[in-house]
Amino acid sequence: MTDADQAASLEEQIEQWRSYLRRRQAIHSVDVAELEDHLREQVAVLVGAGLDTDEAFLVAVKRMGNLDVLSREFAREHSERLWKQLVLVPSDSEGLRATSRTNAIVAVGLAVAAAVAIKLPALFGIPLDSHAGFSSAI
Amino acid sequence: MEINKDLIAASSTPIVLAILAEEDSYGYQILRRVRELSGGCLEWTDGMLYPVLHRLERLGYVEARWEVAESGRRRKYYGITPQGRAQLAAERRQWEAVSATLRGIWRELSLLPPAGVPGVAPRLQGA
Repeated sequence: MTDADQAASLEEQIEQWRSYLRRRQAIHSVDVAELEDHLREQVAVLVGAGLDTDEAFLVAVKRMGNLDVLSREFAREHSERLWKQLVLVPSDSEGLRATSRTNAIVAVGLAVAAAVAIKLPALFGIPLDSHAGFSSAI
Repeated sequence: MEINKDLIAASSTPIVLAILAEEDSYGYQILRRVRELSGGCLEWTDGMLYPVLHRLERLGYVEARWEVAESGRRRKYYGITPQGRAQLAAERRQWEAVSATLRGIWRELSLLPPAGVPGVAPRLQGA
């Protein structure tokens, strides 16, 4: 990659990183600008030490820390932003928990429905195995 | 050696205030100074410095201003306020009290023979 390509690729990566941060309600655009200045200086120092811009970007992002944790710290400090964090942007793990809870409810619901479906004929006085066609077909 | 998170969190205020008492600075440079002063012992996750700086700003211990750096980018600089200096002096007294207490007990312990050495009866001071 030429220097120009590397610079373009870095800008693209920073743009992605920035838009990812902007989705965090607890981190305002002015904070994103402050963090971006940090990221860019870190990348420049690492490139100066001999890393490719791609490598430097990855290291700089990693040193910045986990964005969920960071976003929570920002929310804690700027508590007036906290409700947005809670209401609008559940972190990925919270999202997963919600999904698995939904799945559990659906599973229980289906089990109940299946049990009812099995028992239903009996309720109307029709034993299941009396249907010859049903059992012989299996 | 890794220093535990509670200690890192507790020491972050006096460390940041003391660095800013040396001169006005910005995030990246503050972290570099922390690394330099601690010989790499205090490893802060870079991003976590910023909520700390914002808390100090909210408490009135530091003031922030945006300037255009040599790179041409806008950069947020922080400076300590008189209130921040007073807080730093108070924190310093507390940490010195803790550190003096520990130094005292370390000294007492170093006068005792190492524990658990077979065949050596414990000898107390003056015995």
